[in-house]
Amino acid sequence: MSGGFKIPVPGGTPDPFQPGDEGGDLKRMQYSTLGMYAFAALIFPVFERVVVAYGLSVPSDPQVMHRAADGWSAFGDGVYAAGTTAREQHDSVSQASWQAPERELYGQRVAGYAMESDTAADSAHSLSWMLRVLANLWTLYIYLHVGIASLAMATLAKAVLIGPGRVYYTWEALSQAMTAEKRVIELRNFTLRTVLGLALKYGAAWMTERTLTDGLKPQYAAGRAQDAQ
Amino acid sequence: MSQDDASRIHRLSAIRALGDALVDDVAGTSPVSHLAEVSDFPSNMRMGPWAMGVLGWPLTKEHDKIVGYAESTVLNTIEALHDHRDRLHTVAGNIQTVENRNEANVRRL
Repeated sequence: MSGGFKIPVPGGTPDPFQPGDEGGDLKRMQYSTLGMYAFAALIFPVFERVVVAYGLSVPSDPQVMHRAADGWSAFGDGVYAAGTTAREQHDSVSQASWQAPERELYGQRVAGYAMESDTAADSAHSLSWMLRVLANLWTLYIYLHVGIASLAMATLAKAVLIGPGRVYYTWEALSQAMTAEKRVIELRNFTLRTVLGLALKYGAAWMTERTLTDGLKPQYAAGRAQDAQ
Repeated sequence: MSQDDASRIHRLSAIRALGDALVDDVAGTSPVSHLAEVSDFPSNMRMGPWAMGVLGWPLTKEHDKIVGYAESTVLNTIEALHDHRDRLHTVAGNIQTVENRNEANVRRL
């Protein structure tokens, strides 16, 4: 093909270098690519753990959890009030107005309903309590990160004051002083921490599902025997 | 039958009032309106999967599931209370029918 590869000749026709090229230097796009490679090869490995840990625990507003906790405690109050009111209404009908075997049957049914309401309200309240604990832990975690960031800023300020070279060589000496065994131990600890954290969270989820949904879950085919009567 | 020995007092208006009190706000807030107030969860009750970070996903997933359970349970309970009210009215109606028949029998005799 006539339009194939041609050796670029400065000043030729057509001129291969466009006005923004600054005399055949790397284009802006290539600079940014180089920057990406440098970040991937030099900077990211150093900060990998920090970046990954941050990405895995994307901090959110603890207020979200507080709001959910508010919702759960209101829910518990409402359900408890409903059960209590139903029982009180049943009990408030005097024996002079209604006295029959049916009354006993309905009384048992209402008492069972009130008991289930109490269970559900307790579950909702403990859920709310758990969410509040988590939200407060989350707040502490955020403050911890603020502290760590302050320390990093202090290190940066030190590097600016005494020169980045000295800080770099100090860091280099520290990392060379770290033996392979130490590195392996650190890696093991990191892995253990991650795995244990995951196990803890899944365990907490299981526990939530198992115990805190008492009375909140629909019980299929419950009360079938009563309805058959 | 032993049930016939038991004393039977039926004041039908009291039974009907008991049923209506479950559903309507005639005397204070009724159980159904307590539950109805609770059943419309605020829109931010479901936290979304990433509200506690990527590793908190199991927790938020379970939480949102529990919200769904609670919603459907409350709706079922409201239905059940309406059914209970209807049963009380049925009982009252049955008693009324039986008494009418008894009166008719007594008059015939």
